[in-house]
Amino acid sequence: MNKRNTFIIAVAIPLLILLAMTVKPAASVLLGQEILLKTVAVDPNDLFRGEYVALDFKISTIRKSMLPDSVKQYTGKQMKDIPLFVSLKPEGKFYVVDTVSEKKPDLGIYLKAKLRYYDYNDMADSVHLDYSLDKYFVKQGSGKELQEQSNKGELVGKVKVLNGYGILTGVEPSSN
Amino acid sequence: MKRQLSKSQFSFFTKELDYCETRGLVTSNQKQSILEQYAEKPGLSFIKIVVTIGAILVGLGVLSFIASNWDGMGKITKLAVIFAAFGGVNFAGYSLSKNYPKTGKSLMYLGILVYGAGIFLIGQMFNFGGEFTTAFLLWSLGIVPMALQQRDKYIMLFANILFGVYIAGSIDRDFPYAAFVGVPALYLAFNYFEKSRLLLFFANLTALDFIFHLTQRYEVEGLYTATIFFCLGLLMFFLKHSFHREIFRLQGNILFGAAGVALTFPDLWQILTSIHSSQVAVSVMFAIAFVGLLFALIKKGSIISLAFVCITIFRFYTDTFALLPKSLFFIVGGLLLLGFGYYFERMRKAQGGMHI
Repeated sequence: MNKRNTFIIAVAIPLLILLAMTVKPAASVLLGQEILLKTVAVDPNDLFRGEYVALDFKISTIRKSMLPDSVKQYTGKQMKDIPLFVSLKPEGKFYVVDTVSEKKPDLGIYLKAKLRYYDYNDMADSVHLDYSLDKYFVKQGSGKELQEQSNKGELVGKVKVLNGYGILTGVEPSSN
Repeated sequence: MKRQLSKSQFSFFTKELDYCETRGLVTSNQKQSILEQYAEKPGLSFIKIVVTIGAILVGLGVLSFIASNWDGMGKITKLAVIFAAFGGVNFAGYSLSKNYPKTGKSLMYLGILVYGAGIFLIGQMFNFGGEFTTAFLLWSLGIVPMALQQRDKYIMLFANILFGVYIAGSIDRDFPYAAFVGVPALYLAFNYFEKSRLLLFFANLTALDFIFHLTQRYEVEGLYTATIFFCLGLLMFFLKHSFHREIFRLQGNILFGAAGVALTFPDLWQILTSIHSSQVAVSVMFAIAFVGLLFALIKKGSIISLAFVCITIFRFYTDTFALLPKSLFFIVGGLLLLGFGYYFERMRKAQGGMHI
């Protein structure tokens, strides 16, 4: 292979990686079902992606008893590597947690999650789940505006879900 | 093939041969034939530095532009601009590389930063949550083909650093499985890029980063983690081999120095004994042995060990507010060292100024 062709390959590989990165999220945005989730917000910064609103969803905190027994067998940080499937059900205009399983559900809306906080001393009854939906990026300087809105009332996160993969598409003030 | 020497080494060597010639130890012809066996390594080119810094500045500007999340341009448009810019700078870099190799290469460097900006733009577009450490993995993987194609050790070095950031950022997040392949690959890269010492240094650093990650992942107690790194450092420093031993010695010295300072903290020993006075006693005993080892290495010319002696002294100086015992400890310790110093100086004089 000549130098020109190898150079074209070296340039094409990063472009393919960039394109591949967009496939799953773009499919969720275009084809996924939109659900509403209750949030609490603040406005920190990321060095490379800029200002964002950090979100903590109500579905992120679940009762420890909801975890499948098979997950409770694991100890320590290994527990954080186990993928969980959280089935959601509508309750009013929002979606809430229905069940948590290690197996992919056949039906209904579900999100893939990882366990982020577990109280090994059994002091708390709740555990924290991570759906990778905790950041909403905004134009620099506009995060504070959103913060003020969040101080007046709870924010709502709009999420598109496709096959357990969720993409946060927007946040807006809750109407109630 | 001529043996390569740095500019300063070559100049020193030439001066020494001139001196030998004036003393009649070598003839002018002999001096010339010796010098012909050596060549000066090409130094840093001013033009290369200027265009590389220029490329880095533009790249950082592009990264900041993406981070600003400016809404005057749609996200899809921004992505299209990133794709076009990436293709454009690489095409221009390739076209210029024949006649203007330095500018051409710097444009390829710019392409690498533009690619990174593209990754973060996608992360921003789709509001990816978490710490997004995968970004650094993808950035690293994406630039390796260019490093191989151009046989550019600096691009490979950047890929290595990005890979290290990915491993370090994965602590408390998802397990960095890619490290099982990535770390050995860094050593293969070292071989491919003409055994660059810089690449070996960073490959070792990334391997240590991964070992640290494993100790954290499996919740190894602080005492055992520090002990593991202390022993690793000693191994790197003392193990005799011919594989760029100076790099291993340097890193080993820093590693066991830092781990050794950590082991002088009594709290670290609490898993062995819950009695505070015993923890203090064990840590002080360790500190004495550690400083003893450092002095033995200083005697052999290790400046890094001297730095760690200073750090250990400073660490104990700020440790307690019981000023009178501290004062006594430091005065006695200082007098002992002064005594040792005097003894060594006398030895040196007795050996006719030989370096100790």
